[in-house]
Amino acid sequence: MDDGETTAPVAAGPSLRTDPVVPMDASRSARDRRAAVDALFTEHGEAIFGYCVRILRDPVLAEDVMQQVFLEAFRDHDRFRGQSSRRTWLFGIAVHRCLDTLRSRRRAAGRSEPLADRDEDPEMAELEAPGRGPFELLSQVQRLAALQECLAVLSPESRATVLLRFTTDMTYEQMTSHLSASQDALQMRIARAMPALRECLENKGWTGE
Amino acid sequence: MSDDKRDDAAWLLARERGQPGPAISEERVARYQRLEALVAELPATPIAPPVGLQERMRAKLDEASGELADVAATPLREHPAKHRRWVAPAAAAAAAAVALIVVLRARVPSPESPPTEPEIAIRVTPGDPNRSAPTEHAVGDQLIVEVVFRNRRGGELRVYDDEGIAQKICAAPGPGCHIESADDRITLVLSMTVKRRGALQAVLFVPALGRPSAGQEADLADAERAGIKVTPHHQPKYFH
Repeated sequence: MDDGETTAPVAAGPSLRTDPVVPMDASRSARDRRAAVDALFTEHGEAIFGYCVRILRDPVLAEDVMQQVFLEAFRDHDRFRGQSSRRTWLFGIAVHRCLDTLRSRRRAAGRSEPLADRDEDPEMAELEAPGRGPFELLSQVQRLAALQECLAVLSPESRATVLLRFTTDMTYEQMTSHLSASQDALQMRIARAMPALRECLENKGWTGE
Repeated sequence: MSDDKRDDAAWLLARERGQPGPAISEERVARYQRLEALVAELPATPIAPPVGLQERMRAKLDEASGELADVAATPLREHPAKHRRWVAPAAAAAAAAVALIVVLRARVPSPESPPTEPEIAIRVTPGDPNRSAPTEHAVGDQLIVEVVFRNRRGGELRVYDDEGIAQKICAAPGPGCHIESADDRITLVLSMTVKRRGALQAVLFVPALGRPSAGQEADLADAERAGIKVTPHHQPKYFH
């Protein structure tokens, strides 16, 4: 993670004896790390997957990126300094990887605009077809689907910012490094995105309740 | 952007920054609070995780932890004692060489040293000096942005509105754009008449982005890709 942390000391290598004995410390370290990241995955895996789905709008890509997140967490486990919660740390890695993935796809497609995403995955399109009728008469699932549809209208960067701002405990200072944008830019994104979300939901019948 | 949305954006911006800003109705404030709660209530995932997701993830972690254990278990080559006799002096020599390189680089500036952090100064000249609320900025005022920086390749100032649309670009001398350069020290002065309500933000690009604006987000992304240093003014100005 590019977070300005100093490099943790390298784990001790094998002893300098002639027999190639596997030191207990090194293998136990690998096991302990594996167990710790496994616990993180159990606790936060679904939320990270869900976040990636909302940004990338492609479940297959989202799973790919989710795997990258936890592999990176495994690799950098010992570098975590506790300056944020583990959840925030994971979301920071996730948003970085998601936006990197989107940028790579844009470059590969030779585009400067975000990819058209609504029709790329039938499952996503189906999710975002809320029932007809006044917003308040929709079921909770359908209301959230309507919100998901409105979020999809935002750029991936704005969507990522809105989700981090209101679904995690990340501060703007923490978001700047993960979203590669200044605090000013992130605050402007929120200031523009929320009126757009409000208007979109109101067009679907939301009365603010 | 409608006036309503523009007012809301200004209120939201001020709130996010913890600064005083224009007021909006209590009904709209409550609506945004409800909207934020709706976003916060989104379920962890909008779709059920695919079958086998956990197993595949754990298989990847098994692979990674197996590799880590393999690396740790790799024995030294034969004659470890001989190895130890020369590794310490060689390592010390390498460390000394790296330290020397670091010191030399610190002392000898490259021909195009990164400029010290430029500071953007903003002034607003009232369009109507007899305005009843002289402390507020309004449409018709003159926005003047000035920055001094060092870079032989030059730079440019852009002013974006609250929709991210560039309202003014100062990259070459012309109306509303004054540039002075002496050696690698450059002074850019941008001036423009404010024609619409909303927030305006000045951003310095060094060196210049050198192309028309594709919107603030796209411009910032392009700058990042090109290694162009971006310095936004710390506080957008709001014009009523």
